[in-house]
Amino acid sequence: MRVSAVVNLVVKDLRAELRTKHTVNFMLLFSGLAVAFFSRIAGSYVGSVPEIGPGLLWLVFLFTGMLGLGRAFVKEKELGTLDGLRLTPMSSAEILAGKAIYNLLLMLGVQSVIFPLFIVFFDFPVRGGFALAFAVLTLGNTCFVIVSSALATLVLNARARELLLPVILLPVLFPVIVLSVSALNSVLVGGEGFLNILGEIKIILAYAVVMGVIAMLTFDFALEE
Amino acid sequence: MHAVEIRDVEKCFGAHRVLRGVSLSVAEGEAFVLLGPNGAGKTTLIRIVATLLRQDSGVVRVLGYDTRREAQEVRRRIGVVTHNPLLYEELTARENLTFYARAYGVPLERIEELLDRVELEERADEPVSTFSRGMKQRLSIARALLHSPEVLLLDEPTTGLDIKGRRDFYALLGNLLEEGVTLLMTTHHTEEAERLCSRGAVLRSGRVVAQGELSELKASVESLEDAYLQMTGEEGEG
Repeated sequence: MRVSAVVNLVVKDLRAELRTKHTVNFMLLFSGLAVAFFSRIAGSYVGSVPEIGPGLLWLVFLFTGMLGLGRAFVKEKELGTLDGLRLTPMSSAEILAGKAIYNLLLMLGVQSVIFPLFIVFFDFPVRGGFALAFAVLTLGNTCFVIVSSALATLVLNARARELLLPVILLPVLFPVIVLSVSALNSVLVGGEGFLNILGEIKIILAYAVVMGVIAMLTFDFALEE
Repeated sequence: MHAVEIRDVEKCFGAHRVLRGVSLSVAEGEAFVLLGPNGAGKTTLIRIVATLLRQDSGVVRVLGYDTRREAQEVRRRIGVVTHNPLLYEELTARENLTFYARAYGVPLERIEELLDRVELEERADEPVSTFSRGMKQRLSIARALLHSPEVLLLDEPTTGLDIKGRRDFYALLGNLLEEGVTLLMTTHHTEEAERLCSRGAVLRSGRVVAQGELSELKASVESLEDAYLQMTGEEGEG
């Protein structure tokens, strides 16, 4: 895999996105509104039962990601530029990695704004390390992005692709969400350290690697009409 | 060696057979036109040659490379221009070419050369979304020529262009032909095909119904357009 080819694709996507800010503005607006609504509806419960907090936070990321992350591929498909990409000597792995990294940067941008906002809006009692919680969330979102990028290619040629993606994404993501929520609870609510959540981290990492490999192996087949 | 060699190619989409045993060849340095009505299978055939689609059976070779087994080698040697310019509207002309140049591993100096060639150097730093259709197609040619391809595949490249846009576009293709680039194109405009191409084939319902020198195809009739209408069975319709 050529790193320069991956970077070229990421830079192109970021440049195009920063010029219009369509996706990032939408993702920030949606996630901000979701946090505000959740805090109004369930804020008092989180105060007495803080264990539901990380679950709510993941719901926000899940909906935001499902609505925004598929765009990286869908937009190329709709504009016809996916053919332009496939005609270059870039390998499937390079295209997939470029798109996944671009999606991850979008998601990390959202996470950097929404996670602190969530703590403030919910008046969340943080007992463990904020940095470790942020890292756990980043790992979970990385796996989320890999899985969603992989599945987005699989549904590209489907007619109702933007409806189909969330339906197949949820069951595949279920283990990641459960493990990430568990690790976040351990850190934020239980005040536990890195070694106590190492098991969850290893499984999430392994899941991300396996899904990444499957995505690269199926990419060419998925793009066939 | 043929620039493009197509042998017994079949392609189905579900139960619909789009190509039925298509065979034809294009010599190096020649301009070859595929004529046919909508739905004849021209675009499908071009996409197969361009490695964007896989045929169900048959063999397609570009400069000796098999499009199924050696797709990367084929992609390094072909340029593709379609009615869709394959450009990013938010980016400027220069940014678009920079992206593709890096993807092909081409030195960035080539961008200035091509912008000059397609006469877009003055608009190079403006977003493609502000370009006219003709300008987008000229930029699309620059994109397709970045890596100096030996074979250029053109699928209805003049769709939506006005008369001047078409004339400029064909002048550009004429220059490429003089430089030895092989052209394989589809078009509805028989008079344009005659101006540029020496040989061609007529596709009808996924079959080649005629192929050879354009002068031979129209030998028994008034014009290539008449020959085309006879062969495709469209004469007297509409």
